[in-house]
Amino acid sequence: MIEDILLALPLAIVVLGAIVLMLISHFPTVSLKKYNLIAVFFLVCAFILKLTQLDDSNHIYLFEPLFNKMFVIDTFSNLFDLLFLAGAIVTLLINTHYFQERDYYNGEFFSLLLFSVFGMMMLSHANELVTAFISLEIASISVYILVGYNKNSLKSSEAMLTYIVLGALSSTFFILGTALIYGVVGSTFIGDIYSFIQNNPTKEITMLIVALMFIMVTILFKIGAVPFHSWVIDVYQGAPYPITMFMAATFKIAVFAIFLRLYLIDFTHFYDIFSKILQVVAVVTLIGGSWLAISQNNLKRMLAGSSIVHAGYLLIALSSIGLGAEFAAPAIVFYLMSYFLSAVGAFGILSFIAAQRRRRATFDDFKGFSQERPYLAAMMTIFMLSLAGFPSTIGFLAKFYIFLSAIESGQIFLAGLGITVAFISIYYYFKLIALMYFYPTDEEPKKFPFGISSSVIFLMALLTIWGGVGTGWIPFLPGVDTLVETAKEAINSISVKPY
Amino acid sequence: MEHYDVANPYFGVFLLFVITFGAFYATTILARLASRALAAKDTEKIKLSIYECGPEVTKQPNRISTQFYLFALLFLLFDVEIVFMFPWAINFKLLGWFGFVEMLMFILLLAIGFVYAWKKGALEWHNIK
Repeated sequence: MIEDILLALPLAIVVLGAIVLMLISHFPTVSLKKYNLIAVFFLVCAFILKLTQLDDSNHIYLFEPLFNKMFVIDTFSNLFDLLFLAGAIVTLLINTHYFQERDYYNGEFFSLLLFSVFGMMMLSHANELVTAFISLEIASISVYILVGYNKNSLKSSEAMLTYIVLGALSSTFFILGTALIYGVVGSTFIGDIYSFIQNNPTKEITMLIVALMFIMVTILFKIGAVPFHSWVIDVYQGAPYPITMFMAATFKIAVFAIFLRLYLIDFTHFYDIFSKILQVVAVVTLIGGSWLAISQNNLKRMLAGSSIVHAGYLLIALSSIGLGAEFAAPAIVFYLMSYFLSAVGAFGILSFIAAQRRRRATFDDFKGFSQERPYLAAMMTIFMLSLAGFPSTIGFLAKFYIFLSAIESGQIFLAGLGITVAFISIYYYFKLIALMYFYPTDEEPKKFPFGISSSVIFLMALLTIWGGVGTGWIPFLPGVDTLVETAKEAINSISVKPY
Repeated sequence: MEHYDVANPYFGVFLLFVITFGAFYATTILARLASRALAAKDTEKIKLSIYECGPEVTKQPNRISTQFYLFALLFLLFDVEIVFMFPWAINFKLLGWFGFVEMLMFILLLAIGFVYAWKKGALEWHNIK
């Protein structure tokens, strides 16, 4: 019992932080900076505690006499928890400046952000479909509110309404699928579904396929895969910069946490059907996402479109899991890490610039940016290169592993299409680089603004490069191989066949 | 000529699907072009007014305050907690001290929400901060 409490402590700390922030938001004397510090303090505490628990907890059910296998703690969930906590910490630190420049932020903002992180952490621990649904809703509802946080902006409110209506609609599919599964299996535990199909191979199979399909609809909606992509660009544009960053980098990872757990365990017997479905969705997502990203003039919208393309690459790897590629699942975890680094950096620079000036969002505004702010321009270049998958950045290795797993599973067409789309994506990423470097500007060159925001962005840029080249050059520093090993360990810790 | 795999029983349905989409798209575009070319474009006052099945448009006579919504939501929240308390009360001896502590924590979490709503002024009429 005491060990369980210790393992649940990071979750409890995040909730405690959210509650503390909620209660002190009534005091008008507390400044935004202090709210930010308090939120970061709680998150860092949880992060450090989680880091010490990363290895020594292998497939433990949390409070088993009480919750009966609803919550599982394994390396997989711990790794994802670390990613969510890091995502929230980095989001808060990079946007310190932005929060003070805008007048609509208050204490509840940070409280909601922490509640959302709590929901995501529960999601990675959930071993039962109803628990997963509730955690997904805790995370989503907080994000719905955060998207519309700028109440005076028409665009922000519209984005929130779009997101809340479509998101609620898509969530009903999850609960409907859960109900159908309960009707067939008589249990909603993830391992029970697996063993039911194992023991009764022909009974009520169609119903289960339909049920899993419904669950997949919700998940594909949340990651913005193409048949369900219509909300992505408007919502990403309408949301304030910190929330766009949080959604693109952190919330998407959270949805993949539950998707991977479900796909590796429950979908095992239906791989031949679902691989085909995922292949089609991946092709449509890659092409549609690229088309959307190319046609945007606004930088935020372009990054939103490119996030759809990245979901497409991940779907390629997902479909290769079913076709017997051993390395596909760790490749997904590694890709999520690399996308996290580059997307947080790119959105971070955008919000950093937006904090300084009212409007700087379209491509044209970046003309001659390298003369005005050479260091920020260099960092932006690094993130763009990483997102495009240029060698010597972490994005290249991530894409490499994805395409390798696609080829290993025999999906040559998908791998070829993925590489083609990666070349297409060079168009809209390098357009920004070209605009920054090859055009003159009237602005005065500015000094590098030392501060928390810029140093965190710098750290992200360093990590992006480090992930691409630094492997094993310097001893005692974890490189890519450590990350890949951790990803493999994480996947091994869930695919221990339950029961 | 070689026989292709078109013999799939659903191939016809798929073809129909594609043709239907094409026909629908063509019809929509044609209708739009035709109406743009032919329709009269005058902006009379009566034409632009709201049409409500004949009767004149009136204002809503009894306006309902949004405060009722907030009250109903809070009532729902604190009412549902009772649902959790009855089963606990029945199994009180079985659950023992552990259940008691669990229930206290549950009520504590709800109480925090209550304090928040109270401080925010949600329980006072016309006094939303």
